[in-house]
Amino acid sequence: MHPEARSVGGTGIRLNRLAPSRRVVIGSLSVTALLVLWQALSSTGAVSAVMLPGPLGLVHKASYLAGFDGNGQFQMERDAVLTLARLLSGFLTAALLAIPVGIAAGLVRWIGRALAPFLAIFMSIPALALVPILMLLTGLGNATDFTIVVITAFVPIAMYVYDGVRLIDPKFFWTARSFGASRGEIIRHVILPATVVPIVAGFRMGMGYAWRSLVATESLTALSGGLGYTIFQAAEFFDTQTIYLYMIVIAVLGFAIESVFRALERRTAVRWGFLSAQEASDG
Amino acid sequence: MASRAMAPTGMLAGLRATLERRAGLAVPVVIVALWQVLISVGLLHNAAIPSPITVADSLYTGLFTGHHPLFFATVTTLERLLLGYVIAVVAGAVLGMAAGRVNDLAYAINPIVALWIPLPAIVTIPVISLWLGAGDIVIVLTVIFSAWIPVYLGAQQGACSIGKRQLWVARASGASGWTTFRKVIVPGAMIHMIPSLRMGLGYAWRAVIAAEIVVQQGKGLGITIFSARQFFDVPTMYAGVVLIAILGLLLERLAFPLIERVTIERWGLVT
Repeated sequence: MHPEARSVGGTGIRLNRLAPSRRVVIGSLSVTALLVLWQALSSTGAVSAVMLPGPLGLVHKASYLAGFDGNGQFQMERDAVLTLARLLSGFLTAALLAIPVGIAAGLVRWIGRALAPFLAIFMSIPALALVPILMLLTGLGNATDFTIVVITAFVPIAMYVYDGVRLIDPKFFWTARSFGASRGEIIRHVILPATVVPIVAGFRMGMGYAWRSLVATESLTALSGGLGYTIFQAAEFFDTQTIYLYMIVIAVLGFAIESVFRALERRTAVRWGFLSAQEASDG
Repeated sequence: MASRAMAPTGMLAGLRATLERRAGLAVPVVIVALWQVLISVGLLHNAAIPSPITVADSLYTGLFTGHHPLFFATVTTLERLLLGYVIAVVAGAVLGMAAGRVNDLAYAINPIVALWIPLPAIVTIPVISLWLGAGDIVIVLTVIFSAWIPVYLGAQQGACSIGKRQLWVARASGASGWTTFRKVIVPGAMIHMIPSLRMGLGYAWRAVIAAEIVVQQGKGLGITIFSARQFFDVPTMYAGVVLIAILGLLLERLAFPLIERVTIERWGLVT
């Protein structure tokens, strides 16, 4: 179950049908109150506008940085595209490597035993600790950002796929074999369907780690550009509007990426028979 | 065991079986040995890749000789980790349990939490530094901002899942609100919280190293690695990463089971 999934105060599913309206009302009230308080603090001058620029000022700044006021520069879009390009290219590479490695490790016992310690070690090294070494090996450009994404996404995907394959009920193999399925047919009809759910779960995990590590790495790789780079650059120049604005942009983008993967996870869980559509919509 | 049962003719097969069984140990050892050999015979020659022996030597020197720089960096990092983690656990647990019992509170907080979850903790550093300057407090706050999320979510789910009957029993026996909280809600939520406490510790560990590397001030393991890079002291960089990996594994394999045992025994959840 997702940590976020909750029924209302143990009252069961029935009340949940009525609850969302109250949830939406209170949720939007609290967000609005926060925004109003924030604007009030900054417009009344209770807090200096440098320390806490108001939300209206940020909207103005956003339209400037995004080039909506026709200044011909699109810095925000450029940063977002750079970051997303690194994220997606690294993530795809990691997925293409991790799925076969995870399947091999789950099927062949000694490969699994050899892989496990590496996964454990890389899970316990925060990705940023590798950045100084990678910067020496690959230079200050895109290569470090890309490699960090590959490493941080690879480990959870490989781990989930490995566990997923290892834990397939052996009866499925016996059945397939007694019907005369070849090795290729077993992979296609037994292993792949059984690993779809772990693969997607690993994707969500890996994407979360990769996203965090990438933004942090960008702040260190001095030539790279991108969202993480610009927010720390703004900190050096005391450009506080950009700091706050980019923090929000990073949160919203991260939220969007997370939502896509959560929807994907829910859909595959329904499609491959681990959850009924009813349960998925309640959760 | 299988190798011992083998007949002498099966010795090669026995050796193979042993190697396969010990692949978890054999493969890393072979890789490190190969790495050392390649450097020793001069096939691998790169200033950015030191030999394992140099790294081990630098790790030993840093930990046990002279001013013990690696040892004291470790202590500083662990202090920050512990302080931040404890505050994050207390804050996350209290807020989470409250949100788990009072739906309106959850409705009010959760949209903000939902935006906070995908925000990398590192990104909060420029804002924290803007308000509080530099130093330890920036690193500790980054740890708190990172680690409280899983604890909050776990506590909320835990407090939410407590059965109505248990609350009725508590009320029927005349327990006050505070007693109910302490004797029913906290232990009940604890069961769900244990995995999230573990997750929180992992987040805190990542955050403390990352924040040290980004802040680049004072002492600490992350700072040691980064400043070693500036002096091109490559073996120390690798030694720092090895030490971080070992500490990370120890935290997960030793420290957490300890926390788990203490909380389980403390709250009487032994089954």
